[in-house]
Amino acid sequence: MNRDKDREAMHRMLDGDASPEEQKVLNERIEADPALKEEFIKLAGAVRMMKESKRPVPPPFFTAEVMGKLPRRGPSLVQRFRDLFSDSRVLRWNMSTAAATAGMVVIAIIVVVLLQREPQREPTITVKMSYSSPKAQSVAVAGNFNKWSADTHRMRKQSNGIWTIAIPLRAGTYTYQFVVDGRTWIVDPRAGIMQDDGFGSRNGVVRVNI
Amino acid sequence: MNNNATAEEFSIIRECVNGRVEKYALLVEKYKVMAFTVAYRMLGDTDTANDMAQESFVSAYVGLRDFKYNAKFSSWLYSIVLNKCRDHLRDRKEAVPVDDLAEYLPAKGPDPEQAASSQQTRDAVQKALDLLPEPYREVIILKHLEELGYEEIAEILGEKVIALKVRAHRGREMLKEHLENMGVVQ
Repeated sequence: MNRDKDREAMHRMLDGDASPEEQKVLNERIEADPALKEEFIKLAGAVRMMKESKRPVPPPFFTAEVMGKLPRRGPSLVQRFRDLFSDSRVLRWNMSTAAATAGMVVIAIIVVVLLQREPQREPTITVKMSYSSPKAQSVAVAGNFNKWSADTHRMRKQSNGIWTIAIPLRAGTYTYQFVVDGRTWIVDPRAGIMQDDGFGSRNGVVRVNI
Repeated sequence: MNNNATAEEFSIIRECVNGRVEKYALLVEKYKVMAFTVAYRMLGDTDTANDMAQESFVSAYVGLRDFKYNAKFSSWLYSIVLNKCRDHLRDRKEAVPVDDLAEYLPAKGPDPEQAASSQQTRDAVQKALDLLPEPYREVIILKHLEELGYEEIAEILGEKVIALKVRAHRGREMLKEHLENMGVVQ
């Protein structure tokens, strides 16, 4: 074993990394080589001096001085919010807090149940209307179901010149007229029931029974 | 340090973070000797060591919100103290060299007896440490004064264990040489 390997072994021993076998071999080498022994004694002596060196004592008011230098501040808003959920805490109960909590739980349950219920939809029936006018550019139906709008319910022209539309209506009585080309109001000639409109004309009447 | 002690320290740290500043005194009291010793052995001067150790505790307190609860408080504090010492040593090196000031100052200094007395108050170990380059000094202090394992030293210094062992090897050789030259180890 050369001197470099001896040194390496000595440092492994001082680091506490040497195996018992390595220590035994090194001890034998040290005993057999006075120069190596001297070197090891000096090296181990330096390490021992470090370990045994006196620890300086901090000044008597060290802690007080540090505490006096600390910035005074509370936790940040983010930290407070985080702590609200992450910190463990003891909850103290009495009858009023228990009753209030129970009340809130009941209200929450009712709200959830109401929200989960399907909204009651009023049933409708689809009423089909038609009007023959091969030359018309547009035909719409206006009535009390759409506040007599001439735009909202436009009919579709079929190849035979008949205009048709299907309108879902709830139960009730409806009056209507057709509006041809956006300006001419026509009473449905095929309406089974007619009703005066109070202005000298008549409206078709549809009764929906469900 | 056992797990109970670590859990207790973590609890104190959480209380400090939640605004209970007075709890920090427990940590300062527990680690003040360690911080002061490391600073003194790095800098070789008690007044500066006191300043650096105190500054380290203040910096640690300010940074408590960023403390990672998977490491020991002491390891974190060691790294802060060593950083403070490095900064101080760098500033000291960048200061105007004494030789440059000499021509502007009156030729008056401590008398030789006073200087000799001052030197004697510094122990041999400190003199030898002062002669070590800082990276070697740090490892020797942590390994053979604080008696930390290489894993923890690696965590504190942010370096690999193998590199630290090589540095400790060289540092011990240098330490031995300096103490030998002083006639302390023979």
